[in-house]
Amino acid sequence: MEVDVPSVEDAKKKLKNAKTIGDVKSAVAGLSQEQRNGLARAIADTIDAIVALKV
Amino acid sequence: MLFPIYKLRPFYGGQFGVPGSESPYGIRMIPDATVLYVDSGHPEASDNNDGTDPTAPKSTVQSAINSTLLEPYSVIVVAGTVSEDVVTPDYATGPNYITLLGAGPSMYSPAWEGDDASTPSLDMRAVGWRVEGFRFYGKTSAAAIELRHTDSGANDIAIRTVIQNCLLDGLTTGRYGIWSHGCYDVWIVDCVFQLWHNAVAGGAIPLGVGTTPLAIPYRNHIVNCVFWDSDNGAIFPMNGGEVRGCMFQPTGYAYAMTQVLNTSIVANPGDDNVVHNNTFPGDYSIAGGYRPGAADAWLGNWADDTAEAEVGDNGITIARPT
Repeated sequence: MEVDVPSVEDAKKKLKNAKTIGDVKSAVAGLSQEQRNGLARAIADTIDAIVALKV
Repeated sequence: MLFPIYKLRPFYGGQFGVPGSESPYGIRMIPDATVLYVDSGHPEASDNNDGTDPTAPKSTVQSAINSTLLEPYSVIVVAGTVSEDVVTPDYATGPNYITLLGAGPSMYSPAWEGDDASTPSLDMRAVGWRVEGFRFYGKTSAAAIELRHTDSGANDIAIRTVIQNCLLDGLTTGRYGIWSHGCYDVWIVDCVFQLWHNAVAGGAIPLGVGTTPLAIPYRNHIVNCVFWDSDNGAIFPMNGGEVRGCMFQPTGYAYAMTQVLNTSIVANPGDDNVVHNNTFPGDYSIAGGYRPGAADAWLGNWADDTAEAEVGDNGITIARPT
């Protein structure tokens, strides 16, 4: 049986298409903590765009 | 003749002990923001009040937060004693950018005792809330303040939180002071962390990071804080953050720290942080409780451990500890 191995590159693509915070969480699910930490800025940029609170 | 029920927005003059209230427009942060008053000790306090009148305040903070009058940029002025556990709405429910302002007679008051020992006193789930002027009591199996970042509900993101001028008092039995699940752009400014004692089950951490479903804290600012007389300081792995102007006291009046400042931990590495203008007494090394991220810059701090190669003869740090 094939097992999907999540990759950082896949996560980056999913983050670009994320529309909700749930999408963000799904995008990085399966990555290691260290891999997720490496995406901290991409995650922040994505969430900033979603919440759209320019204050 | 029947008149419509109509109430002007509150317009109060300065109040002693309330920073910013000397403004002729009251303490609101922008002209159309509502101000709600909470005072558990006021004889007229009731959650049936709408809270806009300081002579008829609400009796609980949660009631003010749940009020339909609350809107972005509202200020909730809190006096008395807070003996409740409070949960903010998530960011989607909102409102976001609310200020909880302690208005008591001393440096850090009112006291925020909370209620249940295993529930955070202040559970923050929305964007950009500011908490200022409180004395938070430690709890034996929960945090005084918990910053959510999707670890609870999907829309719980306490990004851009500001915690300013608060005392996080472990009272020797507290477990966690401020506990983050990875929120970014958080400011922790002018806060004091004291009396966090490892006798509590699991150990005491005044400022720490819990489970992080997304990432560890990013672009956080820990500025001008005091960590003293505790068994640990800040165990706060983060990326691209800063620790600036803080005073750490590894050997305190009653307690001595095992971990003083960790911007990285083995199980959850942090990186790229700037740590400067802090006071680092004692053994300036990883063994001494100072653990940096791999590419952190720990420059321009004061350390008396001039025997270390990372500390200049003048006591100024020139590299991260090893």
